[in-house]
Formats: sequence, structure tokens, C-alpha cells
Amino acid sequence: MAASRLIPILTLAIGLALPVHAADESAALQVADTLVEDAHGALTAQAGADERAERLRAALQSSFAFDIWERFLIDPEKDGFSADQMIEFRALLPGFLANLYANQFGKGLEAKPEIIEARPARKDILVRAAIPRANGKNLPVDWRIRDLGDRGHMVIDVMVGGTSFLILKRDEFRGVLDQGGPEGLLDFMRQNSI
Amino acid sequence: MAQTNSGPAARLVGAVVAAVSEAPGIVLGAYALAIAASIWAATGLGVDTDSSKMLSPDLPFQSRALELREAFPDQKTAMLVVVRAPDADRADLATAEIVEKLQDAPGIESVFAPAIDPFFQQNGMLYLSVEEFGDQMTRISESANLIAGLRADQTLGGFLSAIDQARRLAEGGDRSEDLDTIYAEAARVLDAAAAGRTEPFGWSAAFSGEQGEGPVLRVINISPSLDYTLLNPAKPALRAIEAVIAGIAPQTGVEIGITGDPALRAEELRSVTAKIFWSLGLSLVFVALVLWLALGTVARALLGLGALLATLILTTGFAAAAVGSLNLISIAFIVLMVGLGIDFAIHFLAHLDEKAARGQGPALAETGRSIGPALLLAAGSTALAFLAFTTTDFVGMAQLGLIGGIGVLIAFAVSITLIPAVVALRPGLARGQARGPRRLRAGGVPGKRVIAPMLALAGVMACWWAVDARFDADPMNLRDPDAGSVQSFGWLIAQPGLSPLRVAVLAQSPQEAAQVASTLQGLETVDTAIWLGDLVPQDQLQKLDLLDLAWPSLQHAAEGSPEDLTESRQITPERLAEALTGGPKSAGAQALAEALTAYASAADPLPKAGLEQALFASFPLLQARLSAMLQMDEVTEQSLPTPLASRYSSADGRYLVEILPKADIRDAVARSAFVLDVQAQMAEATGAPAQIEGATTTVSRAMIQAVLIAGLGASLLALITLRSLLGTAAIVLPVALAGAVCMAASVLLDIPFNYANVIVLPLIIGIGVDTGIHLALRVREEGSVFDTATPMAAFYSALTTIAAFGTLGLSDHRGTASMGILLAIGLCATVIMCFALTPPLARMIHRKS
Repeated sequence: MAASRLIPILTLAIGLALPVHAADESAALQVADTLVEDAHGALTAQAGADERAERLRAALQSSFAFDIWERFLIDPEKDGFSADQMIEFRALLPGFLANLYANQFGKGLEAKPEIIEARPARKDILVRAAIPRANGKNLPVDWRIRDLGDRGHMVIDVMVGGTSFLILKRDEFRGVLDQGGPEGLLDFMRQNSI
Repeated sequence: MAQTNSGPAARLVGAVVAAVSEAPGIVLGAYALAIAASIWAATGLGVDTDSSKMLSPDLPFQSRALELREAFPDQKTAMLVVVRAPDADRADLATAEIVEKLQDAPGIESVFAPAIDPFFQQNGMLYLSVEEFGDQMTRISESANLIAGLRADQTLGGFLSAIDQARRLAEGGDRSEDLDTIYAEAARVLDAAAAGRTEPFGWSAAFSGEQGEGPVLRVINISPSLDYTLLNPAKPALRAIEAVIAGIAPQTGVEIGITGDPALRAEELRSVTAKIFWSLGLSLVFVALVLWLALGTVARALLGLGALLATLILTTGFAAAAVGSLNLISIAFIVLMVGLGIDFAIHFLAHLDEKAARGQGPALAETGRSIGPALLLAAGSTALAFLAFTTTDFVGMAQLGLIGGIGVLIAFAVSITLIPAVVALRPGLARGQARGPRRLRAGGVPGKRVIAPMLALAGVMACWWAVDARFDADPMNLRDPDAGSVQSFGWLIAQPGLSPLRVAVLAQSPQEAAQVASTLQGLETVDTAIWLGDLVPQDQLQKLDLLDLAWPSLQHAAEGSPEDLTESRQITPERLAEALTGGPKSAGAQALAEALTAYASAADPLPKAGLEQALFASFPLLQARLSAMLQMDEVTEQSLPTPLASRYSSADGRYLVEILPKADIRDAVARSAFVLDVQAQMAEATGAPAQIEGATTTVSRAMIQAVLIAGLGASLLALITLRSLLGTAAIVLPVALAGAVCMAASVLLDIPFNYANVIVLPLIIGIGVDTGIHLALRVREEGSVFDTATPMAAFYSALTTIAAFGTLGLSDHRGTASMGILLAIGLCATVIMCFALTPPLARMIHRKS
């Protein structure tokens, strides 16, 4: 019992010892602006579906911290993945998130999303964007951006109405993993990636 | 007769009675002074209901318990208010109200209610497993905008609108089932509202997704300011808590109880004393009636009652001087003395009538010489039976033994001094014959030759069950099961993790505490072993990481403005019901659709304002909890609330390890297995269950010891007086058989011996030997006993005693009641055995000699 308790405590101590970078609102706004710009460009490009998907994936690739997404999405069950399965998971994740992005924000896009504001959320910055909808209203989206030091500011979550996409997908992934294990999840991701 | 009446005992008692009858005024004056002094002394007599003090503090398990109490004194004095409600919100609302009102109540030092304590509001979720924590964060994240919407508009329209928007979003994301608990809870509230009733919405359970079965318990720990000038030092606090609870507005399904040692003891004292006086009054009525029957006239009955009252007062005075404070066992001396105190008066007055009828005048001295040896022997043997307990480690019973033993001697002294003094002044009191059957003639009983052997056989057969007699040292089994404190205690025991019945080990260091907990955790009978280190949540890194992830959701729920994520529309109960019916099917959605329709079409529903009150009454609790959770942070031993930390670490630097059992240890077998299991690893383990087990062993040993001493002592006294082994056997054998019958009855009626009724066996010996001596000596004097006043006197004496003891059975206090029942059974058996067996045996010996 003592050993099992000691490990998280030590880990916590190590975690606390790591340098924490103060979030920079202007940098976060820049990241969000670039992401929205690139993603909008990709989604509205006069090109084939594959090219649009590639451009959207590339937009996310440059701004999303996939390692953090990966940690929250599959961390407890990660040990059950083989090396090959992990490689495939990492390969599929950007396409999966790009597909999610396209499904959630890419329908009926007529005007470019507008960056509204940035506000602190603990050690991160929430950048609010308004995505125009077909009914004329705006969908409020928050990009959660974290300062990752040398890697710069990156998106670690997307939120709509206070609901975290990362938490929702984490829950969804756990359900799929419980049902079909790593292979089942990879299959699910293959079907939902672009 | 000549032999007995000329012995030293006869001469001594005769001389005393003669001297008294020469100067009755002086004797009565002396009694008046003694009684006045006793009444003055008795005003300072207290009652201590602490059952743990009934055994010697030098016993190893007692000294360990004392050590624990010294290290953690609050455990003994803390009081617990237990709130039991159908759901968490109602429990928390009542808890919050009680805590707020207790802050300014007199006699209260501190109040700690974990359920609403800021520390647990903030960090309570860290005590969940990582998986449970993650699930909760998911629910909060999913519901963030719903909560924000409900927070912004706490009207029926706002409620329906927020639910409708959440429904559409959930259906869009194929997650409709996530709202099922909220739908179900709303359906319950609306169903009640349709019927015109108020059922508050349980927000905590709806959002946690945990609709638990059975009631929710909340515990408020209260440290009272103790006033040691009072018999119950926690009494002011107890009164204040009772007043606060009385002032709480009643809510459907919410029950509030007070328990903890001071409350249990106070109610126990109340249940013992409440009916002890009722019992005493009834005893006195019975005694008066029996006296009138036994002594023939009202004046003689009053004389007998006066002698009894004098005995009671003088014995109470002695008790005050000797022990100062009675315990739950020794308080029964009052009733015992009614029964025992009258015996001597009846025998003396019956003999006086018999002697007076034969000669001229009151014949006091002759009566003293005649009855003196029997009375002296009876007093000696009964006193010995009581005093036998003073030699054991059973301190509680030793006290009753001392008071009872001396009380019997006082009763004897009163019968040979006070009664002759009054008779000397009023000689007419010497005469008066018993009413009822003039003589109890054994010869007149049909089939007498069969009855005696059959009774003897029955006594021998009773030994078959008697060997299974057991002692139950659990103090909870003595208490009135209907008492509020006992019921509240039962609520706690029934709830896993809250049972106060725990074994404890004191450790000198955190390392030792962790080691002890680790060792005991693996035992088969142990559910959990907890020490201070266990109060620091595990896997905090992972949980805080998840919190960090969900923090913006939490903030949105607690502080944010609701986002309009779907197309707004005017929503009514009917429209929402229609939408739910048309959406994905689920039990909650269907129930809510039906409830909305029922409410919309109800003839006499709860008014809208009432429904809004029902919907949102406990919503502030959810808001407060979410706001507090925004500050959730790492918990360390240092950041634990002091009332919690001080429960497990003492002021002198020692650590408490608490061990909770897997089984319900109200069951004696499970308790014994649990304690033995733990003590096999940690011999120094203490706590209530260990104390009960230790007490069981000690008291069982004390019972055997006392019964042996009483039996041997009484036999020796009888042997010295009768100078005959067979004569002694004629007295002792029926009593032994009666004891076997009583023990068999204890087994067959499932009334185990306990702290209160354990006096029965030595008492049977004392009273049985008394009766046997009177009967045997009369056979020896007269050749036959049933032609004399003795059987009638013995019969009425026993009847008085049985009537007096039987009234104890009326007590709400289970221990006292069991004492009354077992004593009545035991004494009936004693009288029957003595009347059936002693005279024929004594006659056989008399004929031989």
C-alpha cells in the first residue's frame, strides 16, 4: 500500500518541479488565428476532397499538441497497445481530429470564423472564436491553448458551451476500447479519419 | 430446638432483642438520627452509566483502552448528529442548517460536518478512484452549459428550456442516455407535482449519476464543552443540540438523531431511571399487598413497610458513603433491597405471632432466640453471595455486591432492632396471622412422592442446556432499542465505512502506523485499516491532471454565461414531452415525457411557484460545490482539516490505526472472529469490539468465581450451623438445581447473561440458601416444617422478592428488563425446588439422627 501511494506522490513532486511557462495571450491568439485561417482555407478550398482533407490535417498538425491529446485519450489503456498499434494510432489521430473538426465546424461555412477574445483559464489561454452558422447565428468555440515551452503555444482542447471535446472523445474512446480493445479503436479511427 | 435456641447465635440475637425491648425510645431515636444522616448522604449519590468502568482498569484490555482514551480523549466525549435522508441534497441541506445553528449554541466547542466542510467541498472528489473521478469530470463537462443555463434562469421555463437544449445537443451527439438520470429525477419531481405534492429535485445525485439505493447518511461531529461539575459533563451540549434539532423544520423523509457516547449514556440513564421509580412504586404496592397477606393486619404490614423503608434509606446512605456514584448495575440495589429487605421482617413478625400465641405478652426475646440463628445464617449467606463479587475484576458488579451485601446485613439489623422496638411500644403488633392457606402442607399435595423426583430430574436435565449459557458484554444490547441514540447508532453501523465499531491500534510513528495498516489490511476478516496517511488521496497526479483538463468546463458551469447552442424556441411541458417521445427511447426520457404530460393535464397540480421551489431548492448546493471545486488542489497531511487529522494523530505524537470489519460485528461470533484475527497480528489492538471480547472473558470468569465463592461460603455457613453434611446438601442441592434451571432458561429464551442480570446466579444461591436454612432449621427444631409459620413466611418472603424483581421486567432498558425476567424465573425455580426437595431431605436426615 505504501509503495503504491509513494509513486504518484513522487511523480507529482517531479511534475511540480518542471518549469511552467506563463501563458501568453497574444501568442495564443496568433495560434488560434492561424489555425482558423488555415482550417477555413482548407474547408472552403476549391479543390478535391483529398486535398482539402490534407490541408485541414496539415492545419491541425501545426497547431495541435497531439501528444497531450493522446495522453488523455488512451493513457490508462496505452499499455495494451503494441508498438505497431501505437504507430498507427499516432498516424490516425490528426486525420481523426481533422474529421471531427470538419464535422463540427465545417458545415455551411460561408464566412470566415472570427477570433473574439482571449482569456486565462488556469495555466492555459482560452481563445474564443465565433464560427458563422447557416442560420445566421454564430457558434462560440473556445480553443484551449497551452504554452509548451520550446514547442510554442499549441491547442490542447476544443470547447463548445463549456463542453470539452477532449473529455468527450476520451469517454468515447474508453467505450470503444472496452468493447473492442486497441484494434477496435484503430478500426473506429480508420472509419472516422480523413 | 433446644440445641439451636441455646447456641451463641440464639443467645446473641435474643440478648439484642431483649435489650432493644428494654429501651425502645433510645433505639427509635438512634434510627431517626441514622436515617436523617443517610438521607443527607444520599443527596450526593450519583450515577455513572459508563459501562467501560465496570471492569478493573488493571486488566490488560482495560489499560489498553485507557491508553487509547488518553491519547484520543475526544473519541469518548464526541457527540454525533446523524442526518438520514432519501437523497444527498436533503441530507446536506439539513446538515448545513444544523451546523449553522450549532455555531452559536451554548456548550459546543467545535462542529465538523465533512459533507459540507469547505475542505471536502473543494477536494472531496479526490477521494474517488481515478476512473470515478474521470467519470465525474466527463459528466460536468457534458453538463456545463446545462448547469450554466439552470443557474441563469431558475424558473420552470428556464428549467424546461435548459433541459430541451441539453436534449437536442445530446441527441445530436448520440449521447441521449447521458441525460437519463436527470430525466428520471425531473420525472419524479413532476409526478409528485402533478399529484399536488412537493418532492425536491436531488441535483447532486442527478449530476453525479449516482442514484444510490437506500437512505443517505450525513454525520456531524460535535466536540462539547465539558462541565465536570455535572453528573454528565456533556449535558449542556446535549441539551443545546436537542434544542437545535427541535428547531429544524421537518422535511419529508429526513430523520435526525443524536448518538455518541455521551448521548447513549444520557439516554441509557434516562431509560434506567425512568422506570426504576415506576418499578419501585409497583414493587412497594406488591410488597404492601403481600405483607398484608403475610402479616395479617394493616398495622403489621405498615410496620413491615417501615422496616423496609428504613433498610432502603440506610443502605442508600451507605452506598453514598462507600461508592459515591452508582453504576448501571448497582442502581438496581433499590429494587433488590425491596425484595431482600422484607424477608427478615416477615420471618421475625411471623415467628413473633407464633411465639406470642403460645405465651403471654409479645415474647420478643424468645422470638429473637428462636428465629435469630436462622436469620443470622440467612443474612450471612445472602451477604456472602453478594460480597462474593467484590473479589472479582468485575468492578461494576463488585459495587452492587458491596451495597447489596451490607444492605442485607442492615435489613437483618433492622428486623432485630427496629421491629422489636416498635412492638415493645405497641405490643398489639405482635399478633397477626397470615391470610391465605393456613398451612402449606406437603402432605396435602397429591402425588408428592412423584413431584419431588420429577423436579429433581428436571433440574438435572436443565444442565444439558445450562452449559451453553453465555455472557454478552456488548453494552448496546443492554440499551433500549427504541431510544433515539441507539437507533442512530444502528444507522451508522448499517452504513459501510461509518460503523463506530472499530478495533484500534496505537502506533508510535507514521512508519509504524503504515506498517500496521498494511499488515492488517490483508486479513480475511478486515475490510479496511485506516491511518492518517490514508486520508491523503491516492493518485492525485492523475486526478489533478484530469481536473486541469475539465477546469474550463467546471468554470463554465460554476460561473459562465450559458451559450445558445441550438435554435431557441418557446418550450412548454407539452412540447418537451412531445420532443422526448419522438427522440431516442430511454427509460428516463419516457418517464419524463409521461410526467410532463401528467403535470400539464393534472386537475390540481402543485402551483408553478411550488414546483419551481421543488426544482431549485437544493440547486445552490450544487453551485457551491462546483465553485469550491474550482479551487481543488493537492491534499497533503498538513492540509487536512484539524478535526480529521486529530482523529488519527494524537497531541503527543502517536498515530491511530482504525480497523473496520468485513462482517456485521453486532453478531457475537463475527465479532469474536474479527477481534481474534486482528489480535493474532497485533496483540495490543483495542477499541470497543476488543473491549467487549475482553469483558466477555473477564465477566464469565468473574461469574464462575463468584458463584463458587458464594456457593462454597453459603455451604460452609450452613455446615457450621447444622454440623451435618447431609443437612447442608438438603439446603444446597435444590439451589444448585434451581441455578441450572435459570441458566437453561437463559439459553432457551435467548436472554444471555449481561452486565445487568449477571447478579442472578449468586442471588439465587443467597436467597435459595436462606429459604433452605429456614425450612431445614424448622424441621430440625420441630421435626416437621409444614405445621409451623415458617413455610408461610418463606413462601411470602419469596413471593415478595419475586414480585419486586418481576417489576424490573417492565424497564425499557433491556439489561434491567432481562434482570427482572431471569430473576423471576430463577427465584420461582428456587422456591419450587426448595419447597419440594429441602423438607423431605431434611426430614430424612432428622429421622436418621
